Amino acid sequence: MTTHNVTLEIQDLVINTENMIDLDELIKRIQELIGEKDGEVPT
Amino acid sequence: MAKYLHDDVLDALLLTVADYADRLTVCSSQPTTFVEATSGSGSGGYMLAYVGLTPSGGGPDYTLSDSASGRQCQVTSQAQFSVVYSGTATHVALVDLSAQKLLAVTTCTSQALTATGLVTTPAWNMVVNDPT
Repeated sequence: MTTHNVTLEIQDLVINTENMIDLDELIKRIQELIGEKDGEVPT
Repeated sequence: MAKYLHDDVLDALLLTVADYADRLTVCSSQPTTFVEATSGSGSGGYMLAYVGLTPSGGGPDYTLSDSASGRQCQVTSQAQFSVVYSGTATHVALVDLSAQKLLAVTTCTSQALTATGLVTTPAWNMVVNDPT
Protein backbone atom coordinates (compact mmCIF):
# COMPACT_ATOMS: atom_id res chain seq x y z
CA MET A 1 0.00 0.00 0.00
CA THR A 2 1.33 3.41 -0.92
CA THR A 3 1.45 6.00 1.85
CA HIS A 4 0.79 9.48 0.56
CA ASN A 5 3.29 11.95 1.92
CA VAL A 6 2.88 15.55 0.89
CA THR A 7 4.50 18.82 1.88
CA LEU A 8 2.40 21.96 2.06
CA GLU A 9 3.44 25.36 0.81
CA ILE A 10 2.39 27.85 3.49
CA GLN A 11 2.11 31.58 2.97
CA ASP A 12 3.46 33.83 5.73
CA LEU A 13 0.95 35.64 7.92
CA VAL A 14 1.81 39.32 7.57
CA ILE A 15 0.38 41.93 9.93
CA ASN A 16 0.66 45.60 9.09
CA THR A 17 0.44 47.74 12.18
CA GLU A 18 -0.44 50.69 9.98
CA ASN A 19 -3.83 49.09 9.57
CA MET A 20 -4.17 48.41 13.26
CA ILE A 21 -3.00 51.63 14.83
CA ASP A 22 -3.75 54.85 13.00
CA LEU A 23 -2.41 57.43 15.42
CA ASP A 24 -3.60 60.36 13.29
CA GLU A 25 -7.13 58.96 13.34
CA LEU A 26 -6.89 58.27 17.05
CA ILE A 27 -5.82 61.86 17.79
CA LYS A 28 -8.60 63.15 15.57
CA ARG A 29 -11.17 61.07 17.43
CA ILE A 30 -9.88 62.26 20.79
CA GLN A 31 -10.03 65.87 19.63
CA GLU A 32 -13.61 65.33 18.52
CA LEU A 33 -14.50 63.79 21.85
CA ILE A 34 -13.12 66.70 23.87
CA GLY A 35 -14.40 69.31 21.45
CA GLU A 36 -11.02 70.58 20.35
CA LYS A 37 -10.58 71.95 16.84
CA ASP A 38 -7.33 72.87 15.14
CA GLY A 39 -5.37 73.37 18.31
CA GLU A 40 -8.07 75.39 20.01
CA VAL A 41 -7.92 74.82 23.73
CA PRO A 42 -11.22 73.48 25.03
CA THR A 43 -12.88 75.47 27.73
CA MET B 1 3.73 62.46 11.57
CA ALA B 2 6.20 59.73 12.45
CA LYS B 3 4.86 56.62 14.08
CA TYR B 4 6.72 54.21 16.28
CA LEU B 5 6.23 50.99 18.17
CA HIS B 6 8.98 49.40 20.23
CA ASP B 7 9.95 45.87 19.22
CA ASP B 8 8.58 44.69 22.57
CA VAL B 9 5.14 45.86 21.47
CA LEU B 10 5.38 43.92 18.23
CA ASP B 11 6.72 40.90 20.14
CA ALA B 12 3.79 41.08 22.53
CA LEU B 13 1.47 40.40 19.63
CA LEU B 14 3.60 37.53 18.34
CA LEU B 15 4.05 36.04 21.81
CA THR B 16 0.31 35.98 22.32
CA VAL B 17 0.41 33.25 19.71
CA ALA B 18 3.82 31.74 20.45
CA ASP B 19 3.17 31.44 24.19
CA TYR B 20 -0.18 29.73 23.86
CA ALA B 21 -0.69 28.01 20.51
CA ASP B 22 -0.08 24.33 21.23
CA ARG B 23 -1.63 22.78 18.14
CA LEU B 24 -1.28 23.39 14.42
CA THR B 25 -4.15 22.20 12.26
CA VAL B 26 -4.40 21.86 8.50
CA CYS B 27 -7.85 22.84 7.25
CA SER B 28 -9.90 22.49 4.07
CA SER B 29 -11.45 25.96 4.40
CA GLN B 30 -10.83 29.09 6.43
CA PRO B 31 -11.71 28.34 10.05
CA THR B 32 -13.30 31.24 11.90
CA THR B 33 -13.78 29.48 15.22
CA PHE B 34 -11.86 27.07 17.44
CA VAL B 35 -14.35 24.30 16.67
CA GLU B 36 -13.99 24.79 12.93
CA ALA B 37 -10.20 24.65 13.23
CA THR B 38 -10.10 21.54 15.38
CA SER B 39 -13.02 19.38 14.21
CA GLY B 40 -13.48 17.22 11.15
CA SER B 41 -16.18 17.74 8.56
CA GLY B 42 -18.50 15.35 10.42
CA SER B 43 -18.44 17.66 13.42
CA GLY B 44 -18.85 21.00 11.73
CA GLY B 45 -15.19 21.69 11.16
CA TYR B 46 -12.53 21.85 8.48
CA MET B 47 -9.63 20.06 10.15
CA LEU B 48 -7.79 17.51 8.02
CA ALA B 49 -4.66 16.97 10.07
CA TYR B 50 -3.08 18.24 13.27
CA VAL B 51 0.18 18.22 15.15
CA GLY B 52 1.10 19.34 18.65
CA LEU B 53 3.38 22.33 19.19
CA THR B 54 5.39 23.31 22.24
CA PRO B 55 4.78 26.97 23.09
CA SER B 56 5.93 28.35 26.49
CA GLY B 57 8.02 31.45 26.12
CA GLY B 58 8.37 31.34 22.37
CA GLY B 59 10.12 28.02 22.06
CA PRO B 60 11.07 25.52 20.85
CA ASP B 61 8.53 25.47 18.04
CA TYR B 62 8.61 29.26 17.73
CA THR B 63 11.55 31.56 17.05
CA LEU B 64 11.26 35.33 17.28
CA SER B 65 13.67 37.52 15.35
CA ASP B 66 14.01 40.78 13.44
CA SER B 67 12.46 40.85 10.00
CA ALA B 68 13.19 43.22 7.14
CA SER B 69 10.58 45.67 8.39
CA GLY B 70 9.61 44.68 11.90
CA ARG B 71 9.55 41.47 13.89
CA GLN B 72 8.72 37.94 12.96
CA CYS B 73 7.97 34.62 14.59
CA GLN B 74 8.93 31.50 12.73
CA VAL B 75 6.83 28.41 13.28
CA THR B 76 9.12 25.40 13.08
CA SER B 77 8.72 22.81 10.34
CA GLN B 78 6.55 19.86 11.37
CA ALA B 79 7.50 16.67 9.61
CA GLN B 80 5.23 13.86 8.52
CA PHE B 81 2.23 13.96 10.81
CA SER B 82 -0.88 11.94 10.08
CA VAL B 83 -3.73 13.04 7.87
CA VAL B 84 -6.97 12.29 9.71
CA TYR B 85 -9.51 13.20 7.04
CA SER B 86 -9.18 13.34 3.26
CA GLY B 87 -9.68 16.72 1.63
CA THR B 88 -7.94 19.66 0.03
CA ALA B 89 -5.76 21.69 2.38
CA THR B 90 -6.15 25.45 1.95
CA HIS B 91 -5.48 26.91 5.40
CA VAL B 92 -3.26 26.36 8.41
CA ALA B 93 -4.39 27.37 11.89
CA LEU B 94 -2.80 27.76 15.30
CA VAL B 95 -4.99 27.12 18.32
CA ASP B 96 -4.79 27.16 22.10
CA LEU B 97 -6.31 23.86 23.19
CA SER B 98 -6.81 24.58 26.87
CA ALA B 99 -8.43 27.97 26.31
CA GLN B 100 -10.16 26.72 23.16
CA LYS B 101 -9.06 29.76 21.17
CA LEU B 102 -8.37 30.08 17.48
CA LEU B 103 -5.29 32.30 17.52
CA ALA B 104 -4.03 32.56 13.95
CA VAL B 105 -4.89 31.41 10.45
CA THR B 106 -2.88 31.61 7.26
CA THR B 107 -3.24 30.15 3.81
CA CYS B 108 -1.45 27.41 1.95
CA THR B 109 -1.35 26.42 -1.67
CA SER B 110 -4.22 24.00 -2.33
CA GLN B 111 -3.03 20.47 -1.81
CA ALA B 112 -5.02 17.24 -1.78
CA LEU B 113 -4.51 15.17 1.37
CA THR B 114 -5.47 11.53 1.80
CA ALA B 115 -6.54 10.04 5.10
CA THR B 116 -3.89 7.74 6.58
CA GLY B 117 -1.28 9.62 4.59
CA LEU B 118 1.31 11.98 6.00
CA VAL B 119 1.73 15.72 5.67
CA THR B 120 4.68 18.00 6.33
CA THR B 121 4.42 21.70 7.04
CA PRO B 122 7.59 23.64 6.30
CA ALA B 123 8.70 26.51 8.50
CA TRP B 124 6.63 29.66 8.01
CA ASN B 125 6.50 33.11 9.53
CA MET B 126 4.13 35.45 11.26
CA VAL B 127 5.42 38.93 10.49
CA VAL B 128 4.48 42.17 12.22
CA ASN B 129 5.64 45.18 10.27
CA ASP B 130 6.75 48.43 11.86
CA PRO B 131 4.20 51.25 11.60
CA THR B 132 4.99 53.76 8.87
